[in-house]
Amino acid sequence: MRHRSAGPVGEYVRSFIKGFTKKPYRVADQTKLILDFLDFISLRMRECEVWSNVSSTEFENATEAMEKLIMNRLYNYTFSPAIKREGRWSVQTDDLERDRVLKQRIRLFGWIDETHLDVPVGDHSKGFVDFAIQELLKINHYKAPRDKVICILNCCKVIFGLIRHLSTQENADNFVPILIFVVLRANPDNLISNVEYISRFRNPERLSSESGYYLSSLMGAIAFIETMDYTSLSNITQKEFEENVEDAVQKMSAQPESAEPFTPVQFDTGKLEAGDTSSSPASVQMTPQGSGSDGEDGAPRSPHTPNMPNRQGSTDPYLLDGAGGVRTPTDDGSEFGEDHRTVQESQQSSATNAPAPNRSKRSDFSNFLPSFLSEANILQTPQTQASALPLLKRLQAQEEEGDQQRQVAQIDRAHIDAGVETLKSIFAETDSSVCRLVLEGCDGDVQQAIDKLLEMS
Amino acid sequence: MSSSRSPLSFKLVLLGESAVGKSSLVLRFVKDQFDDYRESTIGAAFLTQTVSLDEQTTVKFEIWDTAGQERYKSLAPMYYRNANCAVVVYDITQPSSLEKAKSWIRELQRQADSNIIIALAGNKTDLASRRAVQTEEAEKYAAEENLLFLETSAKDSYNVSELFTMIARKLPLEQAANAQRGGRAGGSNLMGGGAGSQSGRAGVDLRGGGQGSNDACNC
Repeated sequence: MRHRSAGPVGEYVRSFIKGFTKKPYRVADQTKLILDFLDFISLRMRECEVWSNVSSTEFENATEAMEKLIMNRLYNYTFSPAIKREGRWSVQTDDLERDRVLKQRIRLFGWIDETHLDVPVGDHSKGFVDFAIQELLKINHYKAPRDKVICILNCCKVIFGLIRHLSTQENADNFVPILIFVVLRANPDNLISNVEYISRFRNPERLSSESGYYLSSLMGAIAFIETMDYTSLSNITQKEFEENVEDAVQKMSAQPESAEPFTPVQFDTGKLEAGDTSSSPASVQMTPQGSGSDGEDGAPRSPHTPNMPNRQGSTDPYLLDGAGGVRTPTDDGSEFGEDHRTVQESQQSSATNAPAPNRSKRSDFSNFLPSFLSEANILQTPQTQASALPLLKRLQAQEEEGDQQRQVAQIDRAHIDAGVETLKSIFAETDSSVCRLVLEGCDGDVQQAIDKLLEMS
Repeated sequence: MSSSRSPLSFKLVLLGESAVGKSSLVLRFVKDQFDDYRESTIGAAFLTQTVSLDEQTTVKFEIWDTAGQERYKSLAPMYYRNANCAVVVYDITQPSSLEKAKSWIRELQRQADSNIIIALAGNKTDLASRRAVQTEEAEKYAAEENLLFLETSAKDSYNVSELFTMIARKLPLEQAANAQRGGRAGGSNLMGGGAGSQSGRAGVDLRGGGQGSNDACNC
């Protein structure tokens, strides 16, 4: 009886996804439909017994998970490069064109160094910059708007780590130039598509304060790069600027195999070639750490719909015509039913035994998330992590599980190794074994380990 | 979102040339004035601080710092978009910084939200011996442009909390209360509150949900 109370929510979700994917809505309508649906479904969730007694923080987490669930499912219909890759609909926005222009433009500016942007340099600053670059590049490894935002925030957090490390003042005067420098050096694929996707589909309320600030800063950095000329830089004459750009053009046309065909300096090219590598998330150049730890997109796409326990028969058609995907072996209706019930029970017991976090379920779930995505880490209060996300967490886990589960142990090891390497690049004088110990002490959380090591140094 | 009593939030953008002390001003405000200072989670370019106006009224400022260097001027619109208020800072020992402040103010008046509340702050009164901008001059300008005005010292903590309190008092609190409470009702915890407005939304996509909604009523 208990688990049935969440049934309607699952039903709404399936119907919505089915309706949404039927035909291409205009982008503004997509945004409205999704945000309205998330508002609507949160009200329906509140009416369900499962969520009726949880704290507001827990409930907020559940709505976050719902946003993630919906956007993971609708990614191929909403994220411009994914729409193009799928080829089902035409891309209505100019995101891809802007991506391509930006990507190419940044390639012309590979020669820009710290002095041109007045970015301070000190011991280990390269390590910080490289780390910030890695964090930013991960934006293409995630589908949910929130996760993409977290990549941006992590990147910014590392930049502030550098600012503190160099004992310069923590403010926008110092932050913005480093952010621009990091964007130039990272040159992520699909950067504009990502930023636009976040602005369109991230819950606007949650995009308002701190996340909003750093997203705006990134947009500012992009705008700066889009219009940058020699007057925007320090320590360079017009002649030098032009020579450097000219050199970059020469080099780029000398290596045609390295990337998409190059269109010379004017960026208003109306006709852009289709099928270039920059528009496909699958072509992300992953850093060793990134690919090892959290390649959500690396796993085969499995747009399956988890079966709700008592509706197994009726949901199968949804699987076929709604999502059109192939189920992964783990996505078994009966298994889900069992899990589902377990969660209900544990949920109930944790509700009756005060707010004791459900550890087993949580660590279970955290296997599917990279450690620095774990909410306690950078963004959220400890309670956030402690709270169980009952049903949705399971749904989400099911969604992301796939092959990854089998690789979890391996990934964990790779993650630690890559983390040690990263730490070592920042704290060159610190012994590797110390880095490893600290990192393991922080459960593989590189951010936290950096903070710890900074305290120690 | 945790409770309906959470303070009303307002976006405040901080503008002014580099080295006029705009971040020091905010740090002073955020760290000294009240007990509930909380480290920002990412970095100090974005900070929040609350001001209690009276028993019932608490205002939360979300403070957006901007880069003051001339070359980053074009980024400013990203920051002052949707700002409820702005603090434009100059250095009383640097007349050129007041000119710069005036150009920011002109831009805000042209480009920002038409209801934005702008405060002009002449910082560094602790350097009185090097004063190069007379109080009267800036005061007159502020009056003409309908700005709030105070001279401050981040170093001596002079007029800092006064500046922010002055702004808080000018904010359209009641209007914001309605808007922000309304938003919350739609978002989460007040079940009854937003329910009416929800029906009919997303209608296109909810066919087949009819069955489900009956179930929902049973739980």
